[in-house]
Amino acid sequence: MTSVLVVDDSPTMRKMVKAALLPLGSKFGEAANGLEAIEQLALQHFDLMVLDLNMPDMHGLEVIQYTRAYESYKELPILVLTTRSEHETRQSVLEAGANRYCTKPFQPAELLAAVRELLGG
Amino acid sequence: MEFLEEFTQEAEELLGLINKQLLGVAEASSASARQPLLQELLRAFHTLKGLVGMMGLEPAGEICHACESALNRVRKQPQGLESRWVDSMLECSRVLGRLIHALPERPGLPEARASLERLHSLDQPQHWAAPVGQMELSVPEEVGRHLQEDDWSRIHQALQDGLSIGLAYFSPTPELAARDLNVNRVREHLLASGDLLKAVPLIEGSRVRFAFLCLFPAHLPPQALEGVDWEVLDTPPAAEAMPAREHPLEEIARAVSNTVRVEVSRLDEIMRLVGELVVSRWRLENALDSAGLEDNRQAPIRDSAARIERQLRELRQAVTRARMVPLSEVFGRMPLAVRDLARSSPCQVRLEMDGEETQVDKVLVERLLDPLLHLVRNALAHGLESPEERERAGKNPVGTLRLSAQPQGDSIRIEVCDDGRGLDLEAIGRATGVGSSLEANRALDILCRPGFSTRREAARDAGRGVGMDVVRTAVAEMGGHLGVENRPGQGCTFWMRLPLTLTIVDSFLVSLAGERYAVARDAVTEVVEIPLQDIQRHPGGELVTWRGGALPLVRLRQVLGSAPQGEPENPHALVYSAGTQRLAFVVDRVVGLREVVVRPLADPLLARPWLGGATELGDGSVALILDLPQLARQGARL
Repeated sequence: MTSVLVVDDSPTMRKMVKAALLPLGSKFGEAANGLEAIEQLALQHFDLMVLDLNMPDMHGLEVIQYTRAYESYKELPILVLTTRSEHETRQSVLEAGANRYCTKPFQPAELLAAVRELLGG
Repeated sequence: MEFLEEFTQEAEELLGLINKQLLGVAEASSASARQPLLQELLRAFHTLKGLVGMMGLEPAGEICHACESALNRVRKQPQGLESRWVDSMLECSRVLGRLIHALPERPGLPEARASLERLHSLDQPQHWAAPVGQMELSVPEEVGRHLQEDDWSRIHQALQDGLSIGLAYFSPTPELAARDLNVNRVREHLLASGDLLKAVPLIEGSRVRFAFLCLFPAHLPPQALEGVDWEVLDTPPAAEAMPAREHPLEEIARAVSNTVRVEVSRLDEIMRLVGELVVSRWRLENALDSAGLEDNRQAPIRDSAARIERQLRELRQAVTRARMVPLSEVFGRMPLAVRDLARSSPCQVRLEMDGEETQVDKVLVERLLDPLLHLVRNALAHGLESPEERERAGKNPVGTLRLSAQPQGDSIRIEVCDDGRGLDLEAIGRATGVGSSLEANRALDILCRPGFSTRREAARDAGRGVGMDVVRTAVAEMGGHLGVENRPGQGCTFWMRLPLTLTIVDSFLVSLAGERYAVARDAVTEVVEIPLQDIQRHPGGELVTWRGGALPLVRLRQVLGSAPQGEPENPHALVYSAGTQRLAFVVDRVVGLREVVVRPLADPLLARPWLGGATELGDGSVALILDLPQLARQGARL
């Protein structure tokens, strides 16, 4: 069973993401901030991360940096799901090490398709 | 409209936060005091922007975006803010509130336009103040290299203001996580006593260690927390000589005193009302069952009922949390007690404590002190040997006494464990004429008889006629159980299993010969179906083969004295396990899972040790609560 970590400081948004990804039949982990996400990664194995950028204490781009510092997560597919902002562009997010850049508001079907693609089918 | 309720709730919270921070910004005395508030505001607006976008509220999204931009501009501005700026932001927040409440209709926003324009007209592009020079601080390099210019200036400022700098390390493990000791908890813990400057994950291979750089008042370092290593890096220059400057300390003092003292009885009252709400909700559900509505008319009511149930559970948890205090309130008294007791006994003892941060009900903490003290006294008087005797047995001459607490679901297990000689089962047997082949828990029953003692001369501290019976009674009054694990020659462990909350328990509702009973869910590891023809009869009782092993059965119909007529072909059984003991309690049917309000049995004619109380069901009928652990203890001898 695949396992997806949903990182977003909004519980409603996490719920929406999980609802959109329900058809995957995967297990979900949740984190409400960057530190919690980094902790979750060390405590159990994940196959994919859906990551918000603008969170308290630690920005999502920093979370990517730390995630890549784990031996086992060098190749972890990271889908950044964020509200459009003047500070980050698709390019800067991908350069920071994300595999995919999606924006909120999102269409559930599109998010699902993007995640499926990242998981390889 | 899907997610509408969650959305409205979270959006309201965010707006509440925004208003609060805006007022904070208006009052902030300096640019550096304003910074963290602006940061919070930015994040709140950004989160809100994402949420309103998902709900299709474009105008609201536009306002959020404009506010973000406005915040980004003033963030770089060192001087004071005009009150006009705060006013327009507050106005935007009010407009947002109206838009959000108007959902699911989507109004236009003529008034919002005006607010937006006022906000734009206040543009004042400015630049940062010059960065502070290099400082000599003992922040380790692995943490220091993650710090930005303004982090350093905050440190500098903090030292000037009379604060100390400390570093806390925390390495998460699944074991700690299982006990809710995680990075969030550590952060909250540190925030409770100071300010968190930076949290840096240090990753090696597949492991992580978090370093937290904190500011705290020099005389008030954070309390110890399991799993956290703490060191003080820098203290303010001439901390005593220089009077601390007003505002940071005052800010921290405000954070620390952000609590209200409430009489426990008031919380009891709230808890009782929550209990009544739980019952009212069942009534609603029962009324709905008997109303015979068509499915499509029923569904929305069912949805609301389910939502109320969830909210009730949260309410109950919130009230429960409000009553919780750390066990350290009792554990903290033990070192002194042990030192006193050891002084007047031949033993030498080292006290270890674990889990004292576990939160339990305030009432429990108060009632726990006596039984715990008694067990500690017993351990010193009867358990631990003299140093000479220990050396002869090849043990460390200094004995170890260990107090530990571990939450287990809805209950907590508290252990008093010594590495002394263990229970002398033979002496206990002789003293009562039962014989020598005693099993430890049976021995406990004897120990708990009023006035029991094996000692010729009563030891000063343990044998004062107040015996284990008092401990057992106190534990039973708290709705708990007392047990013992004996390791002859190696020591023994007395344990108490106590409910974390005293009044409401998640329970299975079961039916037995037409009556309904409740069984605490916590006591049940599994519910299985047992075909009657699979039951094997043995001289010692009945069992079934289950998962390759033998599972002894207790037929609750027999225990309750019901006739076998009408027993189903495939009854359900609740599997109970404690240590190595496993038992299946056969009922007719498991009807469902409920939160039940436990009420003590008022009628002494009804009282049985294995009845944990009674509860009122939604239809007004009463169900007795079966106490499986107690039944299991008796089950061995049924």
